[in-house]
Amino acid sequence: MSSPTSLVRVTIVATAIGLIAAACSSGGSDSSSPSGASGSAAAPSGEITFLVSSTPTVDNLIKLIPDFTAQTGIKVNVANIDYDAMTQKETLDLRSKTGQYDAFWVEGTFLPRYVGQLNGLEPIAEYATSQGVDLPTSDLASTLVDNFSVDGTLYAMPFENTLMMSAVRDDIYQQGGLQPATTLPDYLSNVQALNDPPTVYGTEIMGQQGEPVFYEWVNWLWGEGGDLFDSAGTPTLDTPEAIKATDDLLTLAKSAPAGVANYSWDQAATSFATGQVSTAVLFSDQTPGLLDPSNSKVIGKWSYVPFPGDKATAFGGYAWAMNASSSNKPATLAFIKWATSAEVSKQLVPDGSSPPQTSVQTDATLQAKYPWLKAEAEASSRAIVPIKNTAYFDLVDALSTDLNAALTGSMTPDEAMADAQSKWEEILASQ
Amino acid sequence: MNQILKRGAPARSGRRSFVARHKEALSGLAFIAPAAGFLIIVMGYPIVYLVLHSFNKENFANPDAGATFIGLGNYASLLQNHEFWQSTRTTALIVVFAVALEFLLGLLLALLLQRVLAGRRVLIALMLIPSMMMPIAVGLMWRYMLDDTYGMVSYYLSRLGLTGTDGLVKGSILGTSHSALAAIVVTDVWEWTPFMALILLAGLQSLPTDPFEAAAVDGASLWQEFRHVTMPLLRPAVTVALLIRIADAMRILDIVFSMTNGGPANATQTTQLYTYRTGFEQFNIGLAFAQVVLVVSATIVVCALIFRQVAGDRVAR
Repeated sequence: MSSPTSLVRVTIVATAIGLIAAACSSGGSDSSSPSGASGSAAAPSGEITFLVSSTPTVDNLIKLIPDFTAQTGIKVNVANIDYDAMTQKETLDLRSKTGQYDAFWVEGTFLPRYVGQLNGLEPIAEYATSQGVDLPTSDLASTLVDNFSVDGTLYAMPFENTLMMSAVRDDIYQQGGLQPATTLPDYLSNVQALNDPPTVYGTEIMGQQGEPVFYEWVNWLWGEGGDLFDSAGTPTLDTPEAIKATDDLLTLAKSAPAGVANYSWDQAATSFATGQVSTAVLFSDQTPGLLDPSNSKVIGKWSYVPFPGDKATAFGGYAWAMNASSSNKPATLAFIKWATSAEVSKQLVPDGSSPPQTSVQTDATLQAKYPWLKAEAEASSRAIVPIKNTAYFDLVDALSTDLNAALTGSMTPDEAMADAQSKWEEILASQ
Repeated sequence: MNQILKRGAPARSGRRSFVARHKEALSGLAFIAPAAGFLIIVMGYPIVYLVLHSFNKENFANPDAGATFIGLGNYASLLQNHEFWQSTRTTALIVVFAVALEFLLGLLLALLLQRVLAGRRVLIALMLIPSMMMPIAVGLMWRYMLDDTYGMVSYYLSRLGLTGTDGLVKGSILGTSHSALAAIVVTDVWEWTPFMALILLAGLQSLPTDPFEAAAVDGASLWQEFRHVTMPLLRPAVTVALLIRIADAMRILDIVFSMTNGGPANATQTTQLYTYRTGFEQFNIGLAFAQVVLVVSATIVVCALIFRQVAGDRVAR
């Protein structure tokens, strides 16, 4: 049995060790309790790790990180991996609550899973408020905020827009005496008129099974006056508008390179950048590839125009989310605030980044210098997220398989849409 | 009492004699027990875990929903699932055509290499390069070679009139169901034929010379020698080569993933890709585990049948 004296000695030694350990620990800015730190005067510090998948804009942001470290002293480790591997690691980390990564690069489509099912993301706006940090959410379009919110709570700060717009070759349109289309029939007739293979194709489409063909098609669905669901939330894929939209894709494919049924966004952007096609619907995050002299043969020869009609166009966008299990939330918040600031966005714009901030999109000086920003600002005003549902991937997989089957001729548009309708009804009924 | 002793005595003596008689075997067992126990834990635990969870309705990304025991529900659901059967059919087609072609070409290469004396080692080293490459890199390489716009292979196929509006393949190679499947078979054959050839060459070089000398004395033609001497003697090597390649081809994923990602319209989606999607995109772990159990069981059955069939009576005994 220990004597009282030895107990006191042990207590003193343990306390001393604890104090030394606390003094030596990096960071010193814990954050397990979001509410408790608002009064803390200590600046965020330490080390954080963020998980990301490479895009030109992300790569350019990574180059700016030394500036952030110089300003704040926060060391940032970057785990830059393949997109599929990234989403798997995010899911595994959020499920296991290990906090291996402090910040994630996310798309809105994953939020129902990350928040609704895994409950793994910190509500970033609420956390920032609790820390006395002001996040510039008022500078973001409401659709962007909605995209990264669940039940009205913002979980991720938008970093880059992915708006869908028509990219046209100004020189080819000029030679052909054509104007970029403002209606869907004109769009179809333009691409047919400009189709002159193998010199140049009228268009290309993202026909690959999965998200590519779904996003390509949904703009045509809206353009034809249809929608994915009715007001009661019932799928409306077997409507005349949906069948017409599918038929439009088949018409476009006739004026496109032979392999478009297998084209993803990368191939679509590459075929436009290499001067193979006169018209394409691209995501705005593909702009850097069109501006890169080592890849693009169309520099100075193209522009973005709004997708024909005045209907909605699809968009997604990338954002930074904070892991609720992060061991250094103040430093993570500081990084996210910096990475999503208008100042950083302005530095990324010259290389083709699609800024999420309205102030940057509509900046007259920037618009004069980088004309695609004006088209992006217009596209932002009617951009909507096609589906927000935990079954998003099942729904997209089912529909895109049928769309791809229609494109490859193994189904007619009517058959494809009837099949997709029954699959969607089944998926939604099983929820 | 005496009777009891008499009855008991032989029994005790029997136990002693059993230990004495099997002392060597028992001590051997004692020595391998730690390693065997380790292997059982390392290999057995994941398999038991996998099988047990295949009876659950369980989504990894939805922990709140928990795991619900549904018995054979996942298996029943799979057997009624069109996509699962379609992917099984696709896998079977790839295995049959790819392994058959690899075997025929590999055997031909092995027979040719056996007759090459100068530079054989260099040839073998060069030949093995495809098999040394990562399958995902091989898939990407072939995807670009078959690309309609930039692909060298596509270019020559269209020049030969095999692709294009009037060709055998109307659309793009990877964008048309049958040609995409054929492209995957060709890619697999390109990568694994050298491996098959190497195993068969090793088998050919280890054959005894006496039967060939006897066949020559009897005046056997080259074909008769091949049919009645070489092939029967080569059976063990053929068995090993086929078993390895069939088991491997049934697990094909990387090449498909990088070349077509299962498209167009799921025409090239294999069981492994379907399982990957179920497990790592939908995180439907219970269903994915059931798929793994079914595919592994099918692989074992197919390999056992091939083993008995190809290895012949010697193995059956």
